[in-house]
Amino acid sequence: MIKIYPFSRLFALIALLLLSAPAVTSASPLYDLGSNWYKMSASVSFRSNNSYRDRVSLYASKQTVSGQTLRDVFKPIPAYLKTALFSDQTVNPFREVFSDVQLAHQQGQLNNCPFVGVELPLNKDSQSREWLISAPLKICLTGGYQRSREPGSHVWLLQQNAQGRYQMMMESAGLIQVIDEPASGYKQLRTRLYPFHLNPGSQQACGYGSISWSYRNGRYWPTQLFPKINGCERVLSNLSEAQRFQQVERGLLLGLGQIIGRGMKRLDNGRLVY
Amino acid sequence: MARFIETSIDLPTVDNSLINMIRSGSKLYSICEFKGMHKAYFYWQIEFNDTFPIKVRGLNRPQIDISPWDGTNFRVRLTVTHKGQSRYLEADNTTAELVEVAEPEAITNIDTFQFDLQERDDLILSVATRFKSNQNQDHAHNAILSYLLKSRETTQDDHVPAYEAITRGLNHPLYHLRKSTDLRKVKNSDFFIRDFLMLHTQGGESARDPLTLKGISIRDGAIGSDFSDEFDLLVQEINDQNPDSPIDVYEFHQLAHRDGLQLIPNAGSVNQFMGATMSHVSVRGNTIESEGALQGIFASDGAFRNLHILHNRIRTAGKHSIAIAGMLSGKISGNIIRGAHGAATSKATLYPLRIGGGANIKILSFSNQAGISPGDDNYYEYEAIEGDQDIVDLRSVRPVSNRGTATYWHDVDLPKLQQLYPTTYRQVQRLGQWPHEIPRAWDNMMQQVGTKA
Repeated sequence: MIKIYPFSRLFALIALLLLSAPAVTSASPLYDLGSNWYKMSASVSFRSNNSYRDRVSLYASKQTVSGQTLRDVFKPIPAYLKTALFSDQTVNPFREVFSDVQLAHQQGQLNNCPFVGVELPLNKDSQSREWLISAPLKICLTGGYQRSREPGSHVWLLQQNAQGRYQMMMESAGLIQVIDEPASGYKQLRTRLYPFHLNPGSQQACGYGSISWSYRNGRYWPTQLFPKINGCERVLSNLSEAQRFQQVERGLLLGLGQIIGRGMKRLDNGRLVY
Repeated sequence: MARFIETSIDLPTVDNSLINMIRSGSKLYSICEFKGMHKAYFYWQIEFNDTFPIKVRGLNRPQIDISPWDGTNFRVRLTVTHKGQSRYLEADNTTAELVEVAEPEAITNIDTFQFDLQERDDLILSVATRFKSNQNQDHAHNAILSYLLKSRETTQDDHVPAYEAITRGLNHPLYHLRKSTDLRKVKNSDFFIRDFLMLHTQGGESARDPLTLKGISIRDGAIGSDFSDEFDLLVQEINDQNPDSPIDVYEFHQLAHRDGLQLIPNAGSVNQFMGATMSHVSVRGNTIESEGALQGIFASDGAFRNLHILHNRIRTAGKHSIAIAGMLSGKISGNIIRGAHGAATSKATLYPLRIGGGANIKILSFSNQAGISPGDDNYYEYEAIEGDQDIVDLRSVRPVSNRGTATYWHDVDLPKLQQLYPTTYRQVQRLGQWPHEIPRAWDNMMQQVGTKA
């Protein structure tokens, strides 16, 4: 038997599903990533027309190599969360390192910037809530990407405690990973820090650091640092690989010192001692 | 109107005999007919609900790739591109055999990838292990590229040529032009995986009749695409295996060996690695944009005579916007060069003529035999480059610190070198099993025609 169905409707549905990268329009309930995973990795890449593509990879166990990928889970955040990101009342140890972000906000340059997020519980305490938030700061500030220097988006991990007070648990450029190996009840974090955040005008700033963070006494502290010399062969071409590594390491330790308010040393195994 | 006229695969249970019919291609080839749509481009796909899908892809005739499966319900997807418009048709084993296309609207697919998780894990672990020992970005990237190409499930219509190009070879450009008539094939594109265009010729007929690359628009849409997204996720999972490595595998936007326009001289018996010359080429009025490490207009091997690079607009985060090694004469002028963030930058750079390929021999100056005069085809000299472009001219400059394998030579008699080359080439071929001897063979030859710097 031959059946006919209205192809145009199917066409429209498929077009809708396949073509529409999400665009930031209005706030809706934020997706809750839950805790049924060992490791979570998230990234959001934005286009200059404010559309974005997000990806969350969930890894079931420490041995899992390929994660399960979720897409389209980041949604525009409500206004009160955006306000909390930049409020003086929010405890934020990252303000100094990311002073350019604070300045851009104060100058109104982020007013039309899309901020998207998910809910991401960092502990088992049902009295507090945490959100992972991302925004394309470079696009908002310059109207274009700067892929040669860093990923296109900035991320915040914001907590609201039982008393309603906000605290910035983490701030980072681009990649963030959350690992369910709790310290003091909180999952561990892994982020990247780029030395040029410390010295924005320097063309010699290259590489980045992969930093592990553990929770202790009410905040996250860096516990391990692995400097990466990616991109340094161009800007530090006159230095040996070991010298490049040392230069990147120095810059990263300086930045971490600014965040935690004290100096530290890095051991050969990457451990940080204060 | 499109009609599925033959659905012999419309069976509640699909058995192996059907697979054989599909494999033959005959049924799929006639699965539909289109009135007035001759010369249409067909893209086929069949999916089964359970376990492994069966994938059927092809240009007009399906190329069939059947994986093990035990599926029962299936769906046929068909994209037809005709006169620049794409139509998407769909049928499954329970519903449509006849489909009417109400409106000739265009639709675009997306690139998707179907991974075998065990294979994916194996790839990640093997690349991570190898990268930890050799830190070779190219090896890691090629392994990822190969795997992604193999795992493609659906392809956006206008991305198909790029995937087909890279399937022919991992370094294959979207357009590989070997003769001037090939220029007709070039179309603007915003999706390519390696080079956009490789001009691989001896150039134009004369200064009055140059070979011209003109008005091409190249936008590097692979950066930020579904493809680069999957590429970067693999990179991240590979890097996660080596947390203490001092260098990570680079993400797609930093993939090496990607050029907007690459020029490669080829003069019949002499190739670019022996100093073949490309003459009378004009690259003008093109636009090249990339958020990644795409190099704009690039040439690394051989010589270029009367090369004109004029009024191009280049915006890229790559190391080179205009970089030509071996430019003997010509003009560079009026090009607007910007970094990825939009700031003006001067990145037009000229380098010494390079020969020997991996032997990495760089010629800082030439000597010409008696009787050869300026203007002769076999006269070699670095002439002043015409035009108002701010150029970094390193053609005769030996770097202060040379950490690579390059050797630098003065007063090189290039025609004599090309005469000696066949003998040396045979010698190098014999030395293939002892690669450490190859630089010495080149060195011996170069000593006969020039002076080491």
